[in-house]
Amino acid sequence: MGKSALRDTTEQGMHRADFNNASRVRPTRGAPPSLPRWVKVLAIIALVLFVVFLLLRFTLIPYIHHVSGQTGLGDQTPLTSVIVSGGQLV
Amino acid sequence: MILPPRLRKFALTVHVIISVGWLGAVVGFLALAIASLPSRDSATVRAAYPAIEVTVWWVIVPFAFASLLTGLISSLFTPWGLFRYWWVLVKFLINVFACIVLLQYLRSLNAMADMSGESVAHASGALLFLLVATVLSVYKPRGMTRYGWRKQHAQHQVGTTEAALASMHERSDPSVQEAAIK
Repeated sequence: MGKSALRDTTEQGMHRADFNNASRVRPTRGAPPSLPRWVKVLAIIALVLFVVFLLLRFTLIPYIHHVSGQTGLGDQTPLTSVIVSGGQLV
Repeated sequence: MILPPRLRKFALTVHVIISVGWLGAVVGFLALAIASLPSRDSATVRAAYPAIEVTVWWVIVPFAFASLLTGLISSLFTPWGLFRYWWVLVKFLINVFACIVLLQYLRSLNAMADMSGESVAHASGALLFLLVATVLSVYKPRGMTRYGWRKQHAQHQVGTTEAALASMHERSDPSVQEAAIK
């Protein structure tokens, strides 16, 4: 029983140490914390990816649809094959 | 409510296993999506579509939602909380976003003949998001949200008040004073 109690205490202590080390919790007083730099960087990257996605969605894909319609590939050939396998455009 | 340490460890283990499974399934899905590109051998392309469907429905979808659920348990019932630390919150947002995109993808899964390139894009995006989530889990970058800061501040004040009250009680208790004199 003593060993079990000791192990429990040790596990709790290890968890607390892990929590404190990992989060690097410091007693914060005064002004609330500002947005961390890594969150800003991640947000900018996400925004850029979103803009790229929108550009592809509204410019490239309609263009591919248009091209595949002109070539008469229609529904028989996947649209992506025009890009991937270099389908005949004319 | 905070779980006891053993249950906490168990919940975390389940969450890690499921999340790793999800990551592995997405890598497999990416391989199948690349194999199903029209430039490949037509037999491989035909075989890849059912494999993609099975992988998505039987592995990726259950693992994605199980990861979300176990992540919620691991955060809400531990001192980390869900909205206290930026890395937990960002991981949660990534998980929710991945589940929404996955649901959108399921709607168009039947029209697979026209979307092999889209599958590659989906798999690549999912892999990127899951890798970011994994890095966040391992490094746990610092940064507390305003909500977390307020909570910590309130707990600190409660702790200080309780300590002061206990100290006053000890001073006013005659038995404690006698024990101290002896």
